Amino acid sequence: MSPYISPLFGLAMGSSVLLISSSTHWVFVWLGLELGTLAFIPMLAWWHSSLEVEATVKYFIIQAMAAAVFFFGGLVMTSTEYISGLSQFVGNFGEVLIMFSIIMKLGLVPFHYWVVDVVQGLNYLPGMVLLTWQKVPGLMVLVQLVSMQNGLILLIFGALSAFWGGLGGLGQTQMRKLLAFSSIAHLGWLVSGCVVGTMLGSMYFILYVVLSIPVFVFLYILNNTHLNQVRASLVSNPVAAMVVGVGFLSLAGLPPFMGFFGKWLVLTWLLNNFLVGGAVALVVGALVSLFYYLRVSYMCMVILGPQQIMVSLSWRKGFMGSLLGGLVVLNLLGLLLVGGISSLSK
Amino acid sequence: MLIMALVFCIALLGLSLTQTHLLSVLLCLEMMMVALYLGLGLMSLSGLNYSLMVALVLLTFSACEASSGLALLVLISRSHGSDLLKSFNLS
Amino acid sequence: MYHLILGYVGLVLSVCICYQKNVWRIAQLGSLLMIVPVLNLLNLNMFISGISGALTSDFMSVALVILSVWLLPLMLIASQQHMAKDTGLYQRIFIICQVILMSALVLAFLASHLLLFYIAFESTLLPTLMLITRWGAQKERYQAGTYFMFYTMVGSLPLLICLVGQYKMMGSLSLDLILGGMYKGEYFTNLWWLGCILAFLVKLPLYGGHLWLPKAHVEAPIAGSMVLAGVLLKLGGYGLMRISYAWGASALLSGEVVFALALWGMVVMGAICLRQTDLKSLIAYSSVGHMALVVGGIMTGTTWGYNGAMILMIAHGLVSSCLFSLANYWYERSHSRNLLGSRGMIILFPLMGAGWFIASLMNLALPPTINLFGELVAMVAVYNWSMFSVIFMGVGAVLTAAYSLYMFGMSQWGEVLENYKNLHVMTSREYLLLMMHLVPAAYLIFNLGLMF
Repeated sequence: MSPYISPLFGLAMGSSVLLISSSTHWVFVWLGLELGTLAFIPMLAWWHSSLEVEATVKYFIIQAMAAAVFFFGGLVMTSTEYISGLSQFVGNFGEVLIMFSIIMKLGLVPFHYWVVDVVQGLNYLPGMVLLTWQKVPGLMVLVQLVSMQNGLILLIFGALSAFWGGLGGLGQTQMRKLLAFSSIAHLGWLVSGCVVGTMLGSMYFILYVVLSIPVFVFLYILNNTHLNQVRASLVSNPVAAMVVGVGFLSLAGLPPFMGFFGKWLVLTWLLNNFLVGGAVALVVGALVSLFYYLRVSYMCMVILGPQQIMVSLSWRKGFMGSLLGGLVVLNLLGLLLVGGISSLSK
Repeated sequence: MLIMALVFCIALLGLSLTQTHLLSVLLCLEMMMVALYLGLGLMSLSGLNYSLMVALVLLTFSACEASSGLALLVLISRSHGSDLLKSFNLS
Repeated sequence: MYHLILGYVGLVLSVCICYQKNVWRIAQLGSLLMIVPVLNLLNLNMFISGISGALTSDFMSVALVILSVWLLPLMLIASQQHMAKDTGLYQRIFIICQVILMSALVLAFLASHLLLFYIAFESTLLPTLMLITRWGAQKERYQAGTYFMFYTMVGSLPLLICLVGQYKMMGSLSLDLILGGMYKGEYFTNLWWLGCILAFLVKLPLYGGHLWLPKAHVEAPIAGSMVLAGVLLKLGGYGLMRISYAWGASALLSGEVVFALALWGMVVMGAICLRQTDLKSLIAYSSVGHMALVVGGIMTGTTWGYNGAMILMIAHGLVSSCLFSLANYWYERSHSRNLLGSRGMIILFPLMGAGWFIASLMNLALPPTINLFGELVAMVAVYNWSMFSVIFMGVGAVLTAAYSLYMFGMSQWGEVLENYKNLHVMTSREYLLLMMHLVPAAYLIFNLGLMF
């Protein structure tokens, strides 16, 4: 495929988001969703390897099916209640169908199996786009859908998703599957955040994107797909290994890093709405997933084999060193953000 | 309208339960789209006047979807040797 | 008080940019200089000795801040030999890790907002984890690190939920406002109270939540052991003291359960220590036993209890850190922590034998030491709470004396094993370290007001 076409696809993906965010009628929301999916599919199968093609087919089937269900739900909604927007939820069957189709598109817990399979087949960079940018359209629709009536079920799905994302990753040794499970867990937190506050959901999403992009990019640089390969990377490329390790700890939500900030915000808002059960369930999920984050960061930053020789890295020079500094500072910025936001909230 | 819903649900079931060929999955997808097209047409009868325009948009996009589905079918049969769903890696 | 944090930031920067041959000197001198600004916080006439921004130093935190700032140069001096074979980059990262840990600790002790305290409390986890798992000796260190992490996180996440819920109910978590039990109210249930103190009980550790501690101590390098025993356990004591001082509630049912566990832990830990063959593990279990009395003193909720617990924490911080560094001298020479093989150290290193002697006696609370004073005061408070507790405390004190003497006798007396007869001599760096532990611990008995 000619690489000159790719800006076109990027344009289509961007315009899909614009279309969704600016439309009031569900048909245009559907259009935006379809546009985003169809533009993304050639990017997934860019290298034509058999695993990638297979992952693309799975992604295509799921997304097309979810889109058809969305349209069906919209038809039911319009023909029975004569409403065309998504934001006024009246408990119609069509609206429930739309919600479930969006959950399927996002990969929240009852419909999450495709995420792991698809991400495992893809390269890191398409995987990164899949888990970050491609969630924007779905989340925008979800934010419009959230209301009092369906908030509880979304919260239950979110908590289940946080828990399942932790549980599924426990035995994994494939890095991409780990990232997929981590994304499912974070999606759970994200959706729970969306239920109690729209701004909160978008803020958590931005945090997740900022935290996960360095991890994806440096895993791509390291070219590791298995946990054992990551172990050797502390010797071959210490800087990248440390960024991945710190990034995973930040994704785990440990306090000095920025990941904690998002979790704290979500917990605060849940407790402000007296949803103690949801908060406890999310926290249990975070604890379970901490185990595999911790294991990956052991592999990245700590474990040295008996026959590994430490290379001497020049400390003061080097592009990679400054990049490391920048990214670690970015992660540590969480503390400053915490200070700023907490002073605002007083 | 009820017929359209029935057709859609049958196609959805077919898509979910197909275990042999990718081609039949794509056919079920098309059937869903046709059912939706039918529904839009019926809605224009009941007085929703913009639904025919929406039907054109739906047709366009379902054609796009079908063509990219067929392209993926070609890709998968080139890389896996067949379009059997059994050859997929379901983990 | 932000200049303390800024001082540590400056220390990190100077460790980053200095020449390789000066790294240890600069780190040790710089961290030792930090004791000057921190002594400024000592203001014995006032309840709260300083407020600046989000930081407040009052009678609870001053002594612990000074202890932790004092321990940083000691940690750096102690681990110089251990790090000698590592590359320059990793030596710097090691030092930076410790400085970050210490600044997080200082922030935790000085924080006046409970959520800032929580964040700093959690921030100490990661550097400690790195110390244990990156620079530990055996491969069991990963298990130890995971134990450490999970025990602490399972304990502290309920604290986060409780604090946030508390903020929702009261509208403030600032210690300046809730100090003195202003909001002591009736809607705090047992469960809420337990959620608030669970993190600190695991951190201290209370008997039942203590399994991570011996593992972490055995696997950690010397600096990790010193900071764990010296300050990190005190972080738990400090938090417990802070929360029970602000919100009372030691009379609740969960408070009494904690009491029972503390008294039981005192006896059981003494008995366990008598059967240890691993030197570091023995010292680790002995800290659990000592901390049980701290929990008891704090849970009485009386001034005597708080005073005793605070003095006991300071004393234990210096003495157990000293014992760990003594054990490490032997470990660096013989590469073994086995108590059965370490015979006759006093013949090999006579002056170190004197150090062992003094430290063991301080550990068992011999009369003119602050350990005895703290134990007495805390015991009086606990005795006042229940008369029958004196049985457990008495047995516990006897067992403490027994295992301290057992440790001293096993390691110092007897025949030296054949393969240990050509070990390195002690260096003046190590004697300096010994003196820096023992002199404050011995001196403090003359001025007990410094600690409370």
